[in-house]
Amino acid sequence: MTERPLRKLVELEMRRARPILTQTMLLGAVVLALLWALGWSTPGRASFVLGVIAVSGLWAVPTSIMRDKLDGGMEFLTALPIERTTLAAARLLAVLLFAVPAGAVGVLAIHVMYGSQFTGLGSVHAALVWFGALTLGSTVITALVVGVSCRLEVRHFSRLALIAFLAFVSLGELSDHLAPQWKPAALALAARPWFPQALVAGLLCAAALLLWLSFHLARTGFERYKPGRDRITW
Amino acid sequence: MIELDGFGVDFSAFSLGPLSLTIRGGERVALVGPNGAGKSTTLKGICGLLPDGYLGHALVDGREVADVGPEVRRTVGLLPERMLGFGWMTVAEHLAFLSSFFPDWDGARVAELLRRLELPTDVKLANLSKGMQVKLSFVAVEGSRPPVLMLDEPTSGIDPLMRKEVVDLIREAVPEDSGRAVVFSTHILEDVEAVAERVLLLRAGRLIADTSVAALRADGEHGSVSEAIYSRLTAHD
Repeated sequence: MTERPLRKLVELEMRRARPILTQTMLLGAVVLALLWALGWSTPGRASFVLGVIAVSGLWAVPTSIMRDKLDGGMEFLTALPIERTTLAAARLLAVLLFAVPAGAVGVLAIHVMYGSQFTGLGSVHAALVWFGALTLGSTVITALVVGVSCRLEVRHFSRLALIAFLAFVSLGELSDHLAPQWKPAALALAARPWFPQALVAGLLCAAALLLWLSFHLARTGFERYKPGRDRITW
Repeated sequence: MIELDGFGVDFSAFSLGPLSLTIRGGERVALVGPNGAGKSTTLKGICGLLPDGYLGHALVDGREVADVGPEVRRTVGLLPERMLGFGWMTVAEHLAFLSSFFPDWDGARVAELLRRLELPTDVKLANLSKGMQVKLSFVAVEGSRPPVLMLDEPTSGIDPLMRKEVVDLIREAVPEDSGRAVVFSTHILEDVEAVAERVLLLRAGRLIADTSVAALRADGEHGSVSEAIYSRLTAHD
């Protein structure tokens, strides 16, 4: 994997996201100013606007993949003289770069919403922990969406959405059904002195596994991409 | 330079080959055949752009294309049938982006070609006409100065004056003693005589003739090279 092509591909993602980020931030600033000027500003509303700004930044990379599949960008990228691992790595690096500011905006949104009594944001240490958790969490989720978007053809997305919806509903029903049985056991487990460290270690392992899976999906998606299958035209 | 040995593909609706032939440095080869004959598939296969791979062997400078991977496209440059790029980029941005992926990018040659082909650099790719797209694709593929040029219908959709300019540029890009080679597919039979010395005739995925322009010209039965090609392509009906 060479550095220059990788940097150029990351720059490409940053540049493509610039218009949507600028528009969302400007719109968010206008909405916040209006809320304040009209006296309608509440912590909940301000926090919601900040959340929308953070999420819009995160979605820039996955949406660029879908656009690439439709307008021939994917065909162009896969015809470049570079390994597919470079293409996949560039997308995931871009995801991380967008997750950092999104994490910061997320901390701000939590602070606006709940204040220091809930988040413990009075201390810099707590703010950093929240920032790290939000950045890592949003990186993992967005990377997974990027991997799936690369691997699946656009025409399969609607089927995937349906499966995800059914899985979500089924899991909800199942957990409600099982809650009376597992809740006491879970509370007892959480009371153990080693539980916080074990939870953090488990979550970090899960994040690493999901990031690896995302990279694998993205790389194989670029490898197996069949030109023209999803293309509309420009 | 390029060796195909039993090269082909076998899709459910189309099969190509087996093709066995060699293309050496300095050769200008025309690939001619009706739509669906397998011209684009052959060119893509040699550039390592068939997602499902190929049958047999395709060697570039003695190395199997499938083993070399995407790096082969630094040796074999493809001008695709349909221009590839991002519609929102300008011509200048597109070329600057491409230059990052080719260590031997020749900026001076690109500037010269842009001037000769009268290509504006500030126009977005999405706003380029078909002819402009072909011209930009030619500039892009020549910018990296690959030893082998694969041109998929490089003169289609452009006006007669500019077509002559492109034909001249192809001849100029691959002089006989240069060590470079060009393989171009075309439906315009006049271009075959204007550019190539060697002609490969493909029909329904089979190579029906591997001949020279000189041999076609010497064919006494037909008045021109174009007629000789047409006659051979239709002889199998």
